[in-house]
Amino acid sequence: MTINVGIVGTSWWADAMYLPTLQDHPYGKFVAICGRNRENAQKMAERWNIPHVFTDYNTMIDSGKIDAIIVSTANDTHYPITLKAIEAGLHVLCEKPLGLNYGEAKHMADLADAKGLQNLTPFTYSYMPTARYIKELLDEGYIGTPYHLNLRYYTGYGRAGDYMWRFDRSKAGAGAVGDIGSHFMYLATLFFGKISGVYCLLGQHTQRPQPAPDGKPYEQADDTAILSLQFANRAQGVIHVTTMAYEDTPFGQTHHFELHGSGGTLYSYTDWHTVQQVKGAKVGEGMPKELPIPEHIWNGMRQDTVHNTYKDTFRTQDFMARQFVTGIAENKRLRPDFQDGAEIQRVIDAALMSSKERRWVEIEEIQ
Amino acid sequence: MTVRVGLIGTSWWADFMYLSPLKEHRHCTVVAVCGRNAENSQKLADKWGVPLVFTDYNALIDSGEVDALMVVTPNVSHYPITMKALGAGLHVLCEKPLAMNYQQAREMAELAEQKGVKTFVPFTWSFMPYARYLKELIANGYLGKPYHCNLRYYSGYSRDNASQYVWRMDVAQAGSGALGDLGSHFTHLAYWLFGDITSVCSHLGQIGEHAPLDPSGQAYELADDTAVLTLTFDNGAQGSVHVTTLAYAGASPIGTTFHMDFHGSDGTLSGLSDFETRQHISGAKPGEPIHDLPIPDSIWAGANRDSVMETIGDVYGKQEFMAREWVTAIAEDKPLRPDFREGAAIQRVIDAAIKSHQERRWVDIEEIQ
Repeated sequence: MTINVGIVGTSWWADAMYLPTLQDHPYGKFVAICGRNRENAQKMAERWNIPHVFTDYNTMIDSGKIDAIIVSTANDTHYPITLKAIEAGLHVLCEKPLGLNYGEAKHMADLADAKGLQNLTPFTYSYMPTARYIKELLDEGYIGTPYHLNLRYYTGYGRAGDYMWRFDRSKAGAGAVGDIGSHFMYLATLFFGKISGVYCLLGQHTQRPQPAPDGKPYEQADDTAILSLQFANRAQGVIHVTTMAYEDTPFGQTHHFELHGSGGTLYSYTDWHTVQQVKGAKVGEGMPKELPIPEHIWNGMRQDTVHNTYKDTFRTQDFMARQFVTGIAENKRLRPDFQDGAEIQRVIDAALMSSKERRWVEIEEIQ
Repeated sequence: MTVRVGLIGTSWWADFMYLSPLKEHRHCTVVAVCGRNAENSQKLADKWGVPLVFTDYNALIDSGEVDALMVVTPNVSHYPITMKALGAGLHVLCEKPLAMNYQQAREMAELAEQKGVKTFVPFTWSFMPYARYLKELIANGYLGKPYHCNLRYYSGYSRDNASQYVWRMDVAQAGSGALGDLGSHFTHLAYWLFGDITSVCSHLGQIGEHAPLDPSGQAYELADDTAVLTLTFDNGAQGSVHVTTLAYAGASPIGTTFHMDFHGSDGTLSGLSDFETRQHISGAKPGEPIHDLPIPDSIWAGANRDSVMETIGDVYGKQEFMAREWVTAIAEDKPLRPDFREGAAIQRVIDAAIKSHQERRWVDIEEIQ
């Protein structure tokens, strides 16, 4: 069985995270690519040997040439493209944040479920060995009853202060809280379960130029976010994400996790250069010591740099695009699916409401 | 001039942080100890060669035997003891959190100013070498325009309290739990490093297991064992303060770790203390790798650098900080901080945090009067 995959989007992200992943996949191959700029799309098609090039996603979806679609576009187009694809009976992988709001995301999820189509919202970092090992340790009861977590995503892509669609509310929905906050909301959910309430403080530490390149004024989105979370299991959490931090690593970002519970403590630190470690201590063991990530999690991936691990995670393992195609071919349940993506969108919406109304927001308020 | 000092409180903290450091100070003698339990008080007096023992603080204050008083008691008694002492014209050092609420704290600060006495609120950890070096770096513009700070105080002293009553977890005794006890330290640190706090939202937890009855067999209102605060500062920066009494944070005698991250337009700073061997600052300016920023010799001033507990002993026991600094300020009429005014400012943030938690909304500090 061969799954013919089309992709919408021609960014560096598509080039790095999707197009290289199906080269030797047993079931899937890219047969179509779509971008508004024909020249870019053509160039990308040649680079990856993709036969069909489109400039309109409607035409690509209606072409009958694809079984599955990857939506790797700016956030404001996730909903219309995905809806059209689902109606055409295509399986869909759609980038996070899934929609511009919970209403959109939930509709996408329910419709995909109703049609019985495979769907995936790839929260990239949850596939990394550190995150998977922490999840494994938590499932084994390493920290006992979870008390609280503190997750920090320090990155600096907002520091230059230029126009970026990620900071344009009409295109992105939200800024840092949606782009990088959504990743850590998903990790928080993966680690401690359902989030039931949130406080959120958004920040705008720099004034970006007006108008947007298209000449229109735009509403600038947040460049930092601090969230205080309540989990349904009584635990609490902090998520601090920023695009304004100077972090000296090749990717300009660092990830820091601390999880505490009745039975012990887990730390994780990734510098996005060479360090990707998990540390832990059970009660009585003293300061957290390194817990080497086991071989079955590495599964042959390179460990010399975080970037190589990252590449191998998506190009050699069954995660993200490869997982999506395998899931379709073997009819396996995929996670995180659109329902997971919608639940995170709900937390984003609650966070935006909390920031705007300056109050605690229960997730259930978002319908 | 020799300052005659009295102490109210007989805990291990009073022993470690006050009696021991003042044992040999050129300007003072501790002449009186007061505790409700006469036997404990006598034992402590004997240990440190203190001549007078009281079981009633009123009697101590009225005795005329002391010029200055250290109030090292559960929070509920800070206000009455301090007001009585200030009324008698004594200089007062009072533990943090300064009072049960902002109104009390403000009254204490105002009366002290009227009386012209030296007051001091010992936000202990701000005197540690790493904290003073952070202050120096930030004050000298290392961060440029400050964007945000993230401060985490992980401690575990409530982890095993399921069968043991602790006054710090009793609202009637303490006002608040982790928030007032630990949150006051890190709120103060945030205030000291980033300036005035303008608003707060607070999410308090009661996550662990705690003794259901007080020593008299009565049920009591349980305080918070964790607190998560989000802060805004007058300078436009933002902050997260996460404090807990439930974390397994190593096996040091204090069982605590401190973690501090600061980011700004021109740089990044991090601080770490594990209360075992690590107490250091690292940082980078844009373009530089993150590197250790060794705390200068001038800040260590001869204190032990290899063991955090030894550093604590040296800084508070030998150098001019905390109780020793207060006594010198009295004797030499020197300015001193954090004073009651600063303690009251922090109490105001704590009150705002409690209100925020109760009303589940952001609270502007100005709402607290």
